[in-house]
Amino acid sequence: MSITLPFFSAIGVYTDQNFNEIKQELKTQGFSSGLLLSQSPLTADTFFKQAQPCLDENLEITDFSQLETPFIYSPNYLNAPDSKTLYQVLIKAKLHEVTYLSSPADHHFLNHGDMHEGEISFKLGLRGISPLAEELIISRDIEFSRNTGCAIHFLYISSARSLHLIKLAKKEGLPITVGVKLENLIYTEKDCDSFNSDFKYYPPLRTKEDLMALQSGARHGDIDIITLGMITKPVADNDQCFQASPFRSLDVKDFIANLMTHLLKQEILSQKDIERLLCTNPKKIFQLQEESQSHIKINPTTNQIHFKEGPCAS
Amino acid sequence: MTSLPLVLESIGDLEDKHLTKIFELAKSFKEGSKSIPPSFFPNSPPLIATNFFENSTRTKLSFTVAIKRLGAIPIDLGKTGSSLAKGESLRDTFLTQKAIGVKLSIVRSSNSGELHRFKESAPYALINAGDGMHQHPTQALIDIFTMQELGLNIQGATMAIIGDCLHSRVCHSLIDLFPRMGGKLILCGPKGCLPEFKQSKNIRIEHDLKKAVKSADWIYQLRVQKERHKVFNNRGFFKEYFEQYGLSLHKFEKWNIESLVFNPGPAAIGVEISTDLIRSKYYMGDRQVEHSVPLRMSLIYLLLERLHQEGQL
Repeated sequence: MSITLPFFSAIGVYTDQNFNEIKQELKTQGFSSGLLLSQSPLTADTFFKQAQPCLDENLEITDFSQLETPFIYSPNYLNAPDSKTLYQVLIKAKLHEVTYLSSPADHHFLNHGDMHEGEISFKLGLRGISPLAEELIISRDIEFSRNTGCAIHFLYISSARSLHLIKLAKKEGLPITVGVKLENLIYTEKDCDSFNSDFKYYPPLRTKEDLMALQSGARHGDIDIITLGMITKPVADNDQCFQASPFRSLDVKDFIANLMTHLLKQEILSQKDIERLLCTNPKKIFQLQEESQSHIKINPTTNQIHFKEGPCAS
Repeated sequence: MTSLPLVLESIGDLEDKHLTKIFELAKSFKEGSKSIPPSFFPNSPPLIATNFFENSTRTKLSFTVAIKRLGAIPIDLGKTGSSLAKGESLRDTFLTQKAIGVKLSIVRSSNSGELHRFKESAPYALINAGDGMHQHPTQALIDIFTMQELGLNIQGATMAIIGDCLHSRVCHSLIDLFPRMGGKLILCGPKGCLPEFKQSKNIRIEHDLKKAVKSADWIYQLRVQKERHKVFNNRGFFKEYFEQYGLSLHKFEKWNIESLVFNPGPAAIGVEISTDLIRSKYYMGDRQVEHSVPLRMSLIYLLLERLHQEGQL
């Protein structure tokens, strides 16, 4: 039996310098649309939906009347805007029916960290990133959403507590949606043991309890999408220690294979779950359009993936 | 005996029989009953590099003295003034040293786990002289050797480590070594200096200094590494540190304590320890420094012995 998906994905790419290469790679792998967090407005592009920074180069609030996109984000992904600034941004965003894409990270608590703050970071003598850095911003932004009515999509979460806060907000009916990176649905801090910098992801891999909560959230609809990308700095011929290595993301070409091997085959997520998390929800949240009618066929037994032009038969 | 591993990164790299041999040999060097056999260096004395990419007084001096006492030749390289500052990789630096005849390198780095990736393909023998907040295995070995030489029985004893356990590489190595020698540890300090740690039967966390020192047979004091704190590093967070976690003769008298105090140095007088205590009979910091040379001679000797047996000298 093969699995057929009309493929979409939410993609957070924080640089547009290598935009054409990323686009090509995504197309080759069968993705048909995505979201680009771009520092500068792009020429019309049918593949990427674009989000624009909420602050300009002078750190002034962007001119909403000139926005070419219904999505804004903080220009610095490791530094959420201060409360006063964001409050004003969200008031304007609500007026213009723009969704704020939140990167939940309070840089005061990032601690110049390399991985999750816990048992393994202590053992390895590495600086830890406390989940508090994420949870503080999520709490704050939820309060702002309640106050302003502005829709907020959290680009990623990594802790069980973050998910809990978001579940409460959704239950209350606030316009909140959330993504999770595939890495955080598959691996834990233990994979960083032995200084394996292949697992130096951001947000950091956290505990088994966090992993299980996120998997459950993805299965039960509390998490809306699986996010790909975010940081796409290429790491070629890395001969640096873990601490000196840059954060990385799961490679586009490894994305589907990891999804199949670790989630579908293990029956953590069903085909329907995956379709919802990678196709239906991203399309709805980010108002994505397919560039062409295309779909991918996956053979779960062999992990073979076939990218097909033309409409999805099923 | 199984030879010492070619890369000594952490305490976990050493088997129990290694520990026994290291301490025995260190004692022989201390007592002057051991010297390098004439056949050890058939051609010329080996070159040993001291690659210290971070500041050091005690560790670097004692390694240099140990190298000279063994009749080897130390060559020194720091980060500034070398091609590392121009962007050359550490691996290429090691290979360059190997090409000019270096057999063993002592490395200090600010990066945790800096030597880990060399374990599978070591260019030459490597000893970790402290890597970031990860490990300082030779210091922990010196500490245990000093305790043994002072006649302290570690088996069944409890040692209270007071201070910045989270950011201390010495603490990490002691956590790995002290329980292996049969002892128990209490880690004591304020939040921000202690790990989010699952306590075990051999290690417990204690925030109350009096409780920690009263429950311990002796004390090991660590410096607050303010330069490594990124969250708790401003607005006077450590203003009352001495009052809460500093050690002084006054506290010893008030709490009726007569414990030895070990400290790997440098000790910050007035911040973590009082002048009167550091000058007292309880303070063992100088004894640790005294033992650093024979212990480091022992390690270097055992690695040179391995290279000699493998025909690499």
